[in-house]
Amino acid sequence: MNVNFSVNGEAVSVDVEPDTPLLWIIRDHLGLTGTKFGCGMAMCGACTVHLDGARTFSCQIQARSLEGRAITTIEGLSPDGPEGDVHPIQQAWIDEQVPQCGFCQPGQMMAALDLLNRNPSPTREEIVVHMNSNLCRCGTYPRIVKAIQAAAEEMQA
Amino acid sequence: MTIQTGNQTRREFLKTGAGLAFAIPLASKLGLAGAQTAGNGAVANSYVILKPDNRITIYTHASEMGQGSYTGVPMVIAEELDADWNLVDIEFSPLSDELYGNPRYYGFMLTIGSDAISTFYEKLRFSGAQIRKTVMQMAADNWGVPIGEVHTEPSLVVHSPTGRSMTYGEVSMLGNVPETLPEVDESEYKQVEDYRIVNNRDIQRRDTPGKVFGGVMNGEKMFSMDVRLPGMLYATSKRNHFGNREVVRIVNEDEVLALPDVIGVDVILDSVTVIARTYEAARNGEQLLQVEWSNAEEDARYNSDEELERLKAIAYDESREGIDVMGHWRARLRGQVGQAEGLDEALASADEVHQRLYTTGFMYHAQMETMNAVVDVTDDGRKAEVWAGTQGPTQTRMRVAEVLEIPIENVTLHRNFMGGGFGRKAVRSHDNFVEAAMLSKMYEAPVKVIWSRENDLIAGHYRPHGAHLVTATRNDRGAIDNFLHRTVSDEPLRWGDPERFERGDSRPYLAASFWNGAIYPAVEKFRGDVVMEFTDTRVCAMRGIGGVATAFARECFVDEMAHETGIDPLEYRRRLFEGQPESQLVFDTLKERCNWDGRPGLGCAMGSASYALAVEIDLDERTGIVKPTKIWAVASYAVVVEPSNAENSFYGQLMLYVGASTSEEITFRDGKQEQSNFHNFQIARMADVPEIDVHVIPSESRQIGTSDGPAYAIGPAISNALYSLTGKRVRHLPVSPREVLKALNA
Repeated sequence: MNVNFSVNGEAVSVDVEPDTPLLWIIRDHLGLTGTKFGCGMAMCGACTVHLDGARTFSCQIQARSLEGRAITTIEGLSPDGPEGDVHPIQQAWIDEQVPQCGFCQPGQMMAALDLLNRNPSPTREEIVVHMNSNLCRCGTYPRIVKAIQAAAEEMQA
Repeated sequence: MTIQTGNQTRREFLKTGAGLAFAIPLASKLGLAGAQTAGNGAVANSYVILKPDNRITIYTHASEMGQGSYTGVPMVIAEELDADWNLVDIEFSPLSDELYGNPRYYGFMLTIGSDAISTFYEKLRFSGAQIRKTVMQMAADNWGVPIGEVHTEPSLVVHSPTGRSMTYGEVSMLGNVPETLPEVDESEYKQVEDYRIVNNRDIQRRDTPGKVFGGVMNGEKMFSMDVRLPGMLYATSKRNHFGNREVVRIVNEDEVLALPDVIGVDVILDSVTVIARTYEAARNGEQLLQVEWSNAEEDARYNSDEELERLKAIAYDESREGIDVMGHWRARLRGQVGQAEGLDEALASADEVHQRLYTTGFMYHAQMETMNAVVDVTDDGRKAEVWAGTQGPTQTRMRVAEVLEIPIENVTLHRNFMGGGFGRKAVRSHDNFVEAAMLSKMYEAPVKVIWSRENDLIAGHYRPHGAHLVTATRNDRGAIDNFLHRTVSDEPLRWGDPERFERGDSRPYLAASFWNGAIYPAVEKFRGDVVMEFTDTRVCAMRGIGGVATAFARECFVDEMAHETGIDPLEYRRRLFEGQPESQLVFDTLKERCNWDGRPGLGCAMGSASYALAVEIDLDERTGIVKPTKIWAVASYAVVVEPSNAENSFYGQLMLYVGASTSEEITFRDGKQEQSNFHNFQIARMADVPEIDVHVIPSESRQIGTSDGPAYAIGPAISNALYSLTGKRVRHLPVSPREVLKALNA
């Protein structure tokens, strides 16, 4: 089927099977590989993107439900890359030196941004509840918390 | 398609290659860094290349799986080079066992066992110092002054009396590169107090920005899973729970082939692959695919609980002789730990012998990036290009060459970053690469293989389960003086690296580990025996290796001895380090930091002679869930190369072992794993993070790696904390709800 939607503000059109998960549309059909595959069953959060402004597991969204929707991926946060205006979330992740292997981090950042969009100054407890959806086998959780707190301050300033 | 962002063309891949094609003869009598240039006038050795524009390329030999040595290795070199860190560019080294092979593992390039920096430490320092001495000599000759009159400042050679100076880049263009690069004496190395780069908390990992921007660095995809080639096909694979099984029949091949975009179903060694034009099609095929395997009837009777009971029986069976694994390095440890001689006699003649049995379960690596590979076989099957996140690039290349029956030189390997390794990506069979290589050859197209999480888990190579029988005596002060630790387990290397296992050197037994000071020095007679019990369950090393299992048994046992003698468990351990003030300081510091007062729910354990920790737990008696609420860890390290990264790593290891010690375990029932994905294999989540207090004591000891650190002591510490809370002991790792309820109801 042909489906039309937007990714990071740009209109896109793809021809895929109706049950194709958004994750693989983004990664393989559109070439945006910042969004990662970790489990395929909404248990790890590596594939987290924003769908119409709210976080979602892209491995669970099928092509047939995408028409007219707006997707934001990690590539959409700082459109000009490291040399341009860096999004406060990504800057906080760099300043706090969050990643180890780094594979889960795009999903972590997209989940964190979703939190700060709804709750600009979350408590530690609120951060933990929200972020419990996203796994990190390297165990960078303490630094993720610090980075979210730093980004929250920066985004409010 | 209207978006091109993130796409990478074939040409871009080819352009970047695997670093400079640089042939550097290894000439140093010390067997240290290469002592010659490439003959093109460059100032370079096997790790450093000075560029005329004053930038410096430093190679890192190690594979990067998250541990951070991609940055740490060049930091050590840059320090001795006296480089301006801002002028340093890091690249993965070319693939050369001669130049970058790991001497601990018969010379292959292999990043395992947390020794990317520690084993290479002297070589790295030498490599930096040698180039520094070279530029000092070249500048001095150019100025016509003695070398004694010049010194360096960051990336600058200075004539001390006059203040004249040249940048390293300017010196590199002088053209007077010596025929043979100078040897460097250890006395010429920098003093630790003069370090600017090493141990500097402000220096950040160079791979951080790329990872924060989705895994792209210098225009290249960091993770092999993200690599895309024109005309690339996608494949998934399905494997049996057990190794050594053959495909008897593909039940529904036609049905799978009828799926849209599916191109083929093939048997590659012991896996069945589905290849398709899209990954989603291949994945649909994998889910639909039904395979009949050999030995199915017998396999269906396999239960891991029963198997563990069998291993326990073997532990008590004296007719099954164990291998004295410490015999291999006892000579090296002479004087540090007790000897084995006379141990059996001492135990046989003792009035009272204390004996306990412990077990540990199968553990799965669960690295976030599942096994995958991109291979492009060209020239009628004569050449292959491989994109690989691998801990063993040489062996990956060898394996691809072997299955394609081509010379290793015809295999080009691009070194990708790994989305986690933990030992899994060192397994010698490199099946994911074999699948991609064979399929690329068969279908004459580039192929990306991605294992689903289910296949990654089911075809996983677990840390083997095992039984540990500890037999010991105590002296009149209550301290353990004779100690026999008998392990019954399959041997991780038998699957992980059969060649190393068969060679019998290079640390051939990983089922149990008794090195690195993990034995209390007060123990007079000690032996660690391993009874190898071969099975068809795939196993290999996993972070912490044999230490995870042996530490669990030892530290629970020591705790039991402490309680029996009425001595405080922390003090009991401290006394076993009598005469070793550095180790005792670790315990003194731990005692102070956690306010060790014997309160219920507090437990401790020793990880190594330079690492101990304590944990406080909460217990839900109804569910049996044990939750660490606070961890205190104290470590003693010589030079911490990357302080910020080490802190992140310490926390991370604790989190990995918290999960592995409480909620994770692979169990088999009726021949199948009871776990398949993260819904029933539960690794630690953010809500599981306790308060963590890590304290590092500067030490005079030798350099050791930190990312494979003895944080696995959290397992026995949790069991010990449970005992202090309830008076009940769990002698199985993980201390899972099932085991806790069993103990509480016993």
